[in-house]
Amino acid sequence: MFADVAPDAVPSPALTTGAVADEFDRALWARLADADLLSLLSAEEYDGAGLDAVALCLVLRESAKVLARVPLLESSAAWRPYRRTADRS
Amino acid sequence: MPWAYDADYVVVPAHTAADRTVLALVPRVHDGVALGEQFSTSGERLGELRLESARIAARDVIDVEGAWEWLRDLLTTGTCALALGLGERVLRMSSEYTSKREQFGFPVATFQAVAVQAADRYIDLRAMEVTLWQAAWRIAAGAGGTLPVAGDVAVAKIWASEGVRRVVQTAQHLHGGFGADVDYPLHRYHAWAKHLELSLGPAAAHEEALGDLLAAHSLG
Repeated sequence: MFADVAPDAVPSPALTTGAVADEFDRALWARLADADLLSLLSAEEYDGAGLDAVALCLVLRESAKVLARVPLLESSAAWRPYRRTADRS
Repeated sequence: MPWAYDADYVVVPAHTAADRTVLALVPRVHDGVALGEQFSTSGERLGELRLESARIAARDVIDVEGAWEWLRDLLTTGTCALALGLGERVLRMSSEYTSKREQFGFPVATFQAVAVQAADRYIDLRAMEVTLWQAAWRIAAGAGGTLPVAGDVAVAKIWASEGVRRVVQTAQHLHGGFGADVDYPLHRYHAWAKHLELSLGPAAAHEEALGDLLAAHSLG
């Protein structure tokens, strides 16, 4: 999934004033979505993988090897507290 | 906040009058919500969230006990996972480069000082890995321990912060002038490493937190 992501697809931070890009890597985000990697922590009854922090960390580790520019950690983590509340109500 | 300008919603921890922490699901585009532009060392755009009398529906407030602590621990541990992956790639780049670069007729990887530094960084990465899985497992399994989960998370972040900093510094050292070439990606890894080192607290902040936990919990 991450093997062909180039760590230098955006301008170098050493040569850029301001942001190196306007948004995150949308193309990679779409591929992650297609591979069901954006719902690792969501329960199976909500079409998630029903996996845990260890599984998420395994994917994050691979993503960082290529400096993948995606909010995978933030979005995966944000769902769980939201889901736990929705489950209660 | 990383990726703030791309977010539809922001989960905001907030202290209540009852001295509890709740999580508020705040739309990025909303009355009373403003973002201030910041830039990370990695060159990515961050956002400073400012709230002025922002109102949200009660159903968008998560008040489950421990929700914030769980979120904070997961975000911190995930940051450790990012640091590990980055560190592993950087050490591999260093070993590949020093295996090819020759000085005095030999690959510099054969010089003892080069090998020793690389080996020390390998040990750092192993320590980062074992402390990472300890924290991730505690979160995943809800397993008990002598200290609360936050203790294992603090240990993981201490190792991740210090380890990733050392790995990129050694990598710059072993790459020599080539590491400064902006056409070569090492400097990008260095910039990201600095962001990860400091994200959600550098080692010193977690050493303090760990100290507080150790003072409050008997290890015997």
